Amino acid sequence: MSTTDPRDDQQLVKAINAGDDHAFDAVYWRYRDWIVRLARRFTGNDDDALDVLQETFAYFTRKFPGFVLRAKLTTFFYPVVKNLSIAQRKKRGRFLGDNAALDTLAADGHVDYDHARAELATVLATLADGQREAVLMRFVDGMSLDEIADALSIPIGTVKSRLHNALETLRNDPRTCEFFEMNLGDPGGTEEERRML
Amino acid sequence: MSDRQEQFEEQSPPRLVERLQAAYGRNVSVPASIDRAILSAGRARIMGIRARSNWRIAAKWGIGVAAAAMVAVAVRVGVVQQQERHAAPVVQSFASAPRQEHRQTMLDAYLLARRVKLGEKLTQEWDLNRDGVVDERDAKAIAAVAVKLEGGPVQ
Repeated sequence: MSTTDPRDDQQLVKAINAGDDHAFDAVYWRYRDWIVRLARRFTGNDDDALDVLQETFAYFTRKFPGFVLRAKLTTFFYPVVKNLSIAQRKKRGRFLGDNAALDTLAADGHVDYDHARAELATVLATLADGQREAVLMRFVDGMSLDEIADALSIPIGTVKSRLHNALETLRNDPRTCEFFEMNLGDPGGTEEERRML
Repeated sequence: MSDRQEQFEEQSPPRLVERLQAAYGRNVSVPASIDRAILSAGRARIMGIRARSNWRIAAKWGIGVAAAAMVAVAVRVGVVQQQERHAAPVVQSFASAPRQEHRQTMLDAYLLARRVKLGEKLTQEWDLNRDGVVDERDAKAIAAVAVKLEGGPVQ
């Protein structure tokens, strides 16, 4: 198991195009957990997430040879996982909306489940779909603003405004404002940058 | 990434991030059997790509070699045809060769036989054996003379 292949995503894709199966292994171990977490968020359960993981890599391998990657693989995988998850939910007949899936995840019986988590889920559900998706991509999936913009095929300015508006909503909601208390001091930067938060 | 964007990302609210990750970023245990299934399927596919790639390389080389061979054959045929054209005067000179002490060769015999076979109308000057007909026997006669001339005295 290798998760430390020094090659970047584009080099790995190029190697796979040339028939390097080790490069495929490296991509798998690099993105397996990220994909299955994302799939679980979209599908709401582990079994479907594992199915989506397999389908995602089946789809990925079918792209070769000739696959051209212009950004990081997260920008390729994100829409694939999202669409396959939606298809998986339809196939299983559980046509939950995104909000329902998120609620399921937030309250799925973890030992550390608490009232604040439920409230966080409730407040997130009040966000517009695009805003909620941007928040989760940025803070849960760890994607950069550029990656989010590429994955959603939207301008980076739109990503920033969605994040800004989402954070503003969360900050102003009494159920989630406590999560921003660490930032009440001087965050540094310009006034405009402080307003972004 | 611009400085402004970096600062924007650095200022993500840590407690919110922590809460979100706890709620929605839980790791899912992937069974080893699924790892094996995905990896083996992927490797098989990639190996197929490599095999096809190797085949393509071989095919390209094969096509190249075949093209080169065709060019060589074409050049060779061209050279032979050119030689035949140039050789025609030799045959033409054959009839007068005895008078000019021309040395008949196997090429003369071959060219005469070929022209006879092609049905060309040849003058009686080609009738070496003086039998009134210009035919293969004249070519054989030339060949017999050529062997004697080129090989020296017949033992």
